[in-house]
Amino acid sequence: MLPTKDYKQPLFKEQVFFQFKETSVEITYGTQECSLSFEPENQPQTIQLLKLLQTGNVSLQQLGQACPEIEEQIPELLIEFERLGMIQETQDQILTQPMTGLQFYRELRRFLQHWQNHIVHPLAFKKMTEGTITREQLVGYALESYHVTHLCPRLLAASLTKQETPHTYQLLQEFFVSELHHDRLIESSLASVGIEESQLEQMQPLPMTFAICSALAVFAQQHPLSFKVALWLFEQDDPKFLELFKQCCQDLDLPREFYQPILLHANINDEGEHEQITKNLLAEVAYISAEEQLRVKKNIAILQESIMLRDRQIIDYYGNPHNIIPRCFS
Amino acid sequence: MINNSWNFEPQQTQTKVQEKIEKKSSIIRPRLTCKVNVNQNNIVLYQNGRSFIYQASNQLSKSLQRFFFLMDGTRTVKELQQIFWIKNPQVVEKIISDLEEQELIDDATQLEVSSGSDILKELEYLTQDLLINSVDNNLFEQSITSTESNLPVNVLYGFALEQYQVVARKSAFYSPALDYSCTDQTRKLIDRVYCQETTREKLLSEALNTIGISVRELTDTIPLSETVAMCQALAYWANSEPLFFFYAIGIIKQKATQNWQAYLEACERTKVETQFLTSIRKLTYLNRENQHQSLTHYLFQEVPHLEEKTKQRFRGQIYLFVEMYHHFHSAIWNYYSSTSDLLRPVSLI
Repeated sequence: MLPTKDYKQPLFKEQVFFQFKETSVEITYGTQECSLSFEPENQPQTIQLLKLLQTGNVSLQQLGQACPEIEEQIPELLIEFERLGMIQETQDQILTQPMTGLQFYRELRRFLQHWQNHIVHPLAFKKMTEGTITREQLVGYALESYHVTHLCPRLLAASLTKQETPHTYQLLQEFFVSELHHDRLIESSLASVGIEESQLEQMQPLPMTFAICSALAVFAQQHPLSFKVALWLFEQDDPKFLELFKQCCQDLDLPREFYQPILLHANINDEGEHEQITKNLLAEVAYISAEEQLRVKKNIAILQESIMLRDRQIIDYYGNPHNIIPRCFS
Repeated sequence: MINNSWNFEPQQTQTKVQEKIEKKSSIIRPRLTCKVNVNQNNIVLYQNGRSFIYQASNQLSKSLQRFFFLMDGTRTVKELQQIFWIKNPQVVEKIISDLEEQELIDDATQLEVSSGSDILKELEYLTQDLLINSVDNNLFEQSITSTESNLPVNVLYGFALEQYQVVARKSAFYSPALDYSCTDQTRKLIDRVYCQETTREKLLSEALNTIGISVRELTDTIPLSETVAMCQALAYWANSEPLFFFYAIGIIKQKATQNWQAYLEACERTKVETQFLTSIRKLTYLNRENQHQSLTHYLFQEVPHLEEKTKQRFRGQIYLFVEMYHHFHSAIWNYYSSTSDLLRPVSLI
């Protein structure tokens, strides 16, 4: 007997709970309950099957391969789970419901936490903890921060040209003003290690620094909802990172004038509660369609990955003595 | 009639001269734009019913007359300073600045023109140089051109997928630039190039469908960050500096003509799906009709002058863009040569 619906990749719905016992498992979904009994020797494979169904994205054939000893029972079990309305097609998750901006903010937090597991992790933090980061790499970090702070007004400006609610407009305007002139702080930091103004004017950012900057500018111009979410990623400063940064600068004899403005810049963002900006902006959005959610999730996932890749590029580029530092070409 | 007079004695005007120096005139080759009459020791400058009087001692008046006479746009301020008041060059600056304030003087410096066409040659030379060097380090480009390499089929499919991701974003980076054109001819050419991209999108989508990737899956999948990095950079330049945007698109198209031929041959060598191969053949033929190279030339021809600073910025940005293009290809190799999953679906995160 086959399940009434021909599942490609079945998946348990979110609110299906399990209680594992020695020879059975109690399954609850809302007011419905069922008990699944098994022989003690089948316990590991039954648990394996249920876990795979919680993860989803696995075909019936793959389920059978992963649990060969209970393979024959799988179709029968699926029929029962389906009868109780506990399973769905993995791909159906895409068909999310429209929601408010604030609810989408909550969704996004979870989404980004999951996404972190799929992408590369920052190298700079690891190298700083190990004490293997070099002076050039720390200077590289400041050089690349300079690009972001220097380009900032033109990355944000287009967001002020879009029709928004009065409160959103006010938030965006205040944010724009609060971000002005931060490049001067980084300029003074770089001056302390001999980087001249003429070099600042000429130097090119690393590809991933330019990628995240241009993404923000393009969102501001072409997709305001992605812009509002993207600000969140730009405004996250990790206090542990900054503490380590200061320590490494001191260990490598970089002057106080170098690291102090960078710490000060992070402090300004922190005190201004800049991290809150996305939440405040999304609280003003009444409706986000499923298509828009998908679009923003893709944009933000790539931005998050690009930020991690940027960290790696800083370590790779500025850690290679053959490269031109600062990046003034021709 | 406005009647101004300057009591002109260098020694007495020292403080004023100091003040003026702060806002130094930008004039390089001064040319007087008024009539000069001498009445005893007074020099009277006339322009459109206004007159200005220089009062000076007899000797100074003679120097001034000669000075005004030589201020005909053929000499620089520096040359005039060497002829007159060599020991006190600030005097010349003071006079010029006074005259400029009253709009009695022009700058006759000839504009040094660097036409778009001249600069394009230089930029293309640099680009060629950088592209040749970057190919040497690019595993993807090496792998598709080498007949000996054992090319993973996913790299070939991955290339088509990422190409699709670029072309599916065409409106994001073309739209701000579609309006950029000086002539009717180039506007039409831009339109044709854009339409060609639409055909490419259709063919790539068809090719990917033949290997079981549906349109819905294409919407759901996350492209590689390096692919999007290049697209965002293009969109940024399309908004902020369309001429450079078209130059960067020109680089992509120039490379595409070579790469797609090598890619087709690699697909023929490696056992890709027959139907996939048919779509790739169509795409390669389409890429041969590259209209973009002539578009870049037409657009630069229309630019009468590009400043030195703009040229320098373009040069720097070419380094950056070639780097991004190189990373776009390297990431295809790095990701698809080591994965069995062609897609990164959002719905599974």
